[in-house]
Amino acid sequence: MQRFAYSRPESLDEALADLDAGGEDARVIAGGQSLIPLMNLGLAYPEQLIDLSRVRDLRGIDAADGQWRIGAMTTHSELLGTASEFSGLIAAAVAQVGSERIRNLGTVGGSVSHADPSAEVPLAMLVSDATYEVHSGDGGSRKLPAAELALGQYMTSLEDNEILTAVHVSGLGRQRGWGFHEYARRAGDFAVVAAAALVDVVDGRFSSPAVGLAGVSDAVLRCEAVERHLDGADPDGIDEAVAAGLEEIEFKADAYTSSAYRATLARVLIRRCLQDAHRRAMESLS
Amino acid sequence: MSSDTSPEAELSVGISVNGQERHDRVPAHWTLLRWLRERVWAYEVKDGCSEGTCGACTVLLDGRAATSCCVLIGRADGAEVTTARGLGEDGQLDELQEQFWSNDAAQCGFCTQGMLMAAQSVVASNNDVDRETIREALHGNLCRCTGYQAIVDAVEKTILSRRR
Repeated sequence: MQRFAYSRPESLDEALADLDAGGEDARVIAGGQSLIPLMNLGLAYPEQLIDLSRVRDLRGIDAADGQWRIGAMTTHSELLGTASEFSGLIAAAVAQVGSERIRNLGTVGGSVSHADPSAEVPLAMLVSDATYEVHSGDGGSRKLPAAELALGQYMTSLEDNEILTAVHVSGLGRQRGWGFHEYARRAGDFAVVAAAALVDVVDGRFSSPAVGLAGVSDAVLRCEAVERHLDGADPDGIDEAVAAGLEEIEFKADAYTSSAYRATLARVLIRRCLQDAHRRAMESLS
Repeated sequence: MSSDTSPEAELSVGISVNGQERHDRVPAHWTLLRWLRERVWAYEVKDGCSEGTCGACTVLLDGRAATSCCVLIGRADGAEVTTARGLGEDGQLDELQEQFWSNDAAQCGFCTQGMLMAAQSVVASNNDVDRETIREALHGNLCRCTGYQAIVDAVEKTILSRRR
């Protein structure tokens, strides 16, 4: 690994000051479970790292009025212990992240900021309509809808002097059903394709569905066309709605997986998510 | 600026390894794995894939399994680290190690210490543990010799004997 300048700020203000002073050569490091492998392999070589592991304000999960705030440095393991209280979807997605030892160090903020197009946590946040809290070195802060974070593979709309500090997400209402499925080549790997769904069910029909995919293009994706076709459909209409809704998506191909195979996985995984989500919503109504 | 940030600067760290407190000055770009092998001579901790996939470098960091190749030394500063050498007392094997021994769960041995450390949370758990749960706990650790059955056997027998 190449040498880098290194600091361990103890507060968010200190971290923002270090980031501001470091300019475009500086990067923040959270749990390091994506960045350190890239540095070990010589694929990333930041000149300055600002280690957020000592910033206590960035840890922890708080709830108020059905809204949950997850500090960016909350580990996947910590979130896994709490998430089932407010979102079965987020709990299911986090359980699929790497292995236990990666979840022990990897963080929620790090995962969404890394913007891996195959990652489970950004997908769950996107489908949950989460909002990201962002602070900048000039003292400003803003709220960023999850859909506006990832610009492409590992690229985000965060400025050089900004740090993503928390995730805000609504708890699922009792009647909202969820589904999460992925296919990975080995247990613990990033998904080849992952799918997530949240639905209401009114008179047996889907209402206000939210559907998303990871692993199919250069960023995690909301399948708005699927949602449109699905709204008002009953479970017998799932296949038709999904097929129609996926038509306009261009599925990427790589050395392992063709575009056609990804499209097939997407169709099958979304169907399973929607069947699960419908069943869970019906169970909560009965 | 929150601390000295030059690339040449070395960090002063204090880390407990298997109960022994160590103080050292370490370049900031070293990983915990590199420090354990090059300064502590903890050669039981193996350097495998460098990307968190193989599990050979797994240690306990403040009691929780961590991949030491993916932990910067600055992150480990102040922590308690446990390696396989820290499991038994007075040079004796602990129960899990004994079960690995008697079930032939080690062949070449490269993955063994990582397996032992990754199994700690499931061995300590009070929940009902079936083989599927054990496999889930160990799925981040690769073994290219045993076929895993003997490893799962060793972990399962340890859990069953503790419950008796």
